[in-house]
Amino acid sequence: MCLAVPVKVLEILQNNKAKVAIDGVTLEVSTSFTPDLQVNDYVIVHAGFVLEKITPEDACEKFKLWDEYLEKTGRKLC
Amino acid sequence: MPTITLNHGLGGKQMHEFIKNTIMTKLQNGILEKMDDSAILKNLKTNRLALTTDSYVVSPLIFPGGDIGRLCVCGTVNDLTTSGAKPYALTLAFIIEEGMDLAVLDTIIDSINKTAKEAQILIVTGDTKVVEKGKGDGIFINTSGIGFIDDHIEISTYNTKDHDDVLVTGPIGNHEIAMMKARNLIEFDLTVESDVRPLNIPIENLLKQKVLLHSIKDPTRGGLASALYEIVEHSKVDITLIEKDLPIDKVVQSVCSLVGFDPLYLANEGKFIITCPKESSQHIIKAFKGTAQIIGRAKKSEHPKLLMETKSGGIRKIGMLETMQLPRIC
Amino acid sequence: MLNEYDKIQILRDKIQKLSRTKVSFMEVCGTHTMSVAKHAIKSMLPENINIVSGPGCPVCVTSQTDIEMSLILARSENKIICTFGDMIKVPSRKDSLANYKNVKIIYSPLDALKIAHENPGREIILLGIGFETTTPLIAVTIKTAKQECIKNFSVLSMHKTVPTALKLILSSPDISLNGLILPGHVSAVTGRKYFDFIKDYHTCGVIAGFEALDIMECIYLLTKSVEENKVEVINNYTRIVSEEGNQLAMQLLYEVFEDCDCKWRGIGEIPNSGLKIREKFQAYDAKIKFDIPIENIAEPKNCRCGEILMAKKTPPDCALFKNTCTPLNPIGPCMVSSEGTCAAYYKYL
Repeated sequence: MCLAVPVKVLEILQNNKAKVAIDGVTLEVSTSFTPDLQVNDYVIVHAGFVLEKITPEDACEKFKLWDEYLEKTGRKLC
Repeated sequence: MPTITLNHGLGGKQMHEFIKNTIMTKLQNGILEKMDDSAILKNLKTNRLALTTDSYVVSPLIFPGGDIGRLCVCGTVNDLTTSGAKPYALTLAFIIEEGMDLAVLDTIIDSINKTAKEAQILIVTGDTKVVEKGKGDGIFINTSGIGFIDDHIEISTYNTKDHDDVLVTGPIGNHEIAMMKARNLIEFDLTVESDVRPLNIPIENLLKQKVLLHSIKDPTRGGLASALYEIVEHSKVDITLIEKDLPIDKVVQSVCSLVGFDPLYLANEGKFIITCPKESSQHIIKAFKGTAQIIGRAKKSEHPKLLMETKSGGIRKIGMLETMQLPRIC
Repeated sequence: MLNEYDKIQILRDKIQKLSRTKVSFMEVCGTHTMSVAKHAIKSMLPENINIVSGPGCPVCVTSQTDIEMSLILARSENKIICTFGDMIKVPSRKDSLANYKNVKIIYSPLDALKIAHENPGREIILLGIGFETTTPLIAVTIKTAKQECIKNFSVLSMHKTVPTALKLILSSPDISLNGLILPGHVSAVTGRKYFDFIKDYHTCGVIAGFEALDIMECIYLLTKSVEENKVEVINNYTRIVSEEGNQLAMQLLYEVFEDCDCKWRGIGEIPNSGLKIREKFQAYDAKIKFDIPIENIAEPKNCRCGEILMAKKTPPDCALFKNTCTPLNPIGPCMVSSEGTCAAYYKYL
């Protein structure tokens, strides 16, 4: 029910619109749900609207898990 | 703006002049301009003659990367090449709609000429008809082609063997995305061109070097998946594609992500799938100047299937395309 | 630094070692159905973990009556029907929107307003399908139409909300689920809290994204919850989903729409599970604007989409599957929609 794609904000336009891009494709989208958007933000887009900003996950926490796992089990990745 | 009229189709003076001045001056090659009802081709030494025909109905007539003229030569040349034939001659038949802009027609004929030279093929005979306005889409073109197959060559979709490498000669999906953009079916800003090109010369070079090729197939309508299905069923093999090795241009991938398309089913007009013994693969990659890539492998099978090894190491079936892909929200 | 492939192999290993109980996890989002199939997730899991599809495909759950209403509008004079591509091939009495020249496929609902501007002499009707992810977009489109005084535009609302359908499934004695793979983009709009109610049914849930790694992480977390006997609703898509969600989007949704009873295909009427346009915006409600005769149309005989949508049966259990019902000739909506359960089974399994 939710085909949505991560894109980068290139330009904030008038009338609740922004120009966004993903690898070689540019499109104009509505920012009705994300009025505080800034240029260079990464966002997800669904059917021509920005749904939400993408916040980088706490990568450190997740990596800690992996390192811990590898250490404990002495596993080697093939 | 000079256009085609019904008079051009009458067989009289206007038609004769049109053919002479527009078509013949551009396409003359020693045979065509004789304007005999049949072209006489002499001194042909072959035990196997390949013969194919195709009709071209495309809209718009001129699109990024090509036009219907380029398409009608490449399509038939490439079809002949898939059976291991060296393309020799083409027929060229036009059905032109009354009111068609002569300047556009000029562009198309120039394109046919250029592409025929690129493919080193002769256009030896043709026909021109004109239909009333509203009964055509600008122009329909049919080309039939003949080619010669050397005695020792066995290339067909029935010929893929156990342990064969499966290659594609370049990135997939560009033609269909270019056409969708040209038809305004996608409104995003992007630059992508059709990949339409003749592929007979690199194949000819490989065959001259005695590089062994088993199957060649052009992934046109229905894309890579549909073309591979033919090989899977005819050769009775499982083919497993390696997802991370599939060449897809970023812009094509982006469009697919935005509207929910699967690039495996997008049409190509300048690509071949080639199956071959492992030793041949590097030669193929070299012949296609580095754009060709090994994308999978074949395995003999009682219950032939087309499979995908995903980027994460899972295995799934690749389904056949049953209906047209449409932009979706889900 | 580990790449995605390595992380997935680690997860496969962890799940294999951890999983003891025979479990069923349900994914409730058409896009998840596609992702699970596309990334071949099932091929990476031990046999005791069963992934089933729920009623998360908006096309699949649209009632026959609603489809017929769309067709009645397409057939009537002077109309242009704007729809997302998902709906084009849904059949009703051997007809579908694909047969009509006045049907336009749009990428964004705002494209329908452009079409309304360009065609002042015709009535433009937007087919409103989708759950909490898409409905706010339609709400903004309706508000924009009102602001711009566009008179020749309306929406046929077939929108639905996820929770009531989930409650029906979780309280059904025929279905036994151990966990839910919760829809990532619906949650981006609604927030994680929205799904806390599933704990009342002793079911755990994990909100997941759509990449292979996201789904494998989700299954690992669900397996862990089950094995540790914990009932929790975890947000594992924190890069997009927050506790409260996008409150502006939810506000706009409920400014234009309100809850109503709604018939779900194959399931029947579920109270408070649909969304209808509020009185304030009724000038944009196609059901009110046009006198569309409402008939209750029976679903095709022997079609088991309803049970499949509720994960009571799988596609191979349906006699029509792969016989008379194929993607080229779909009988039920689960086969029509590209991410319906039957279509996914047909294509990938």
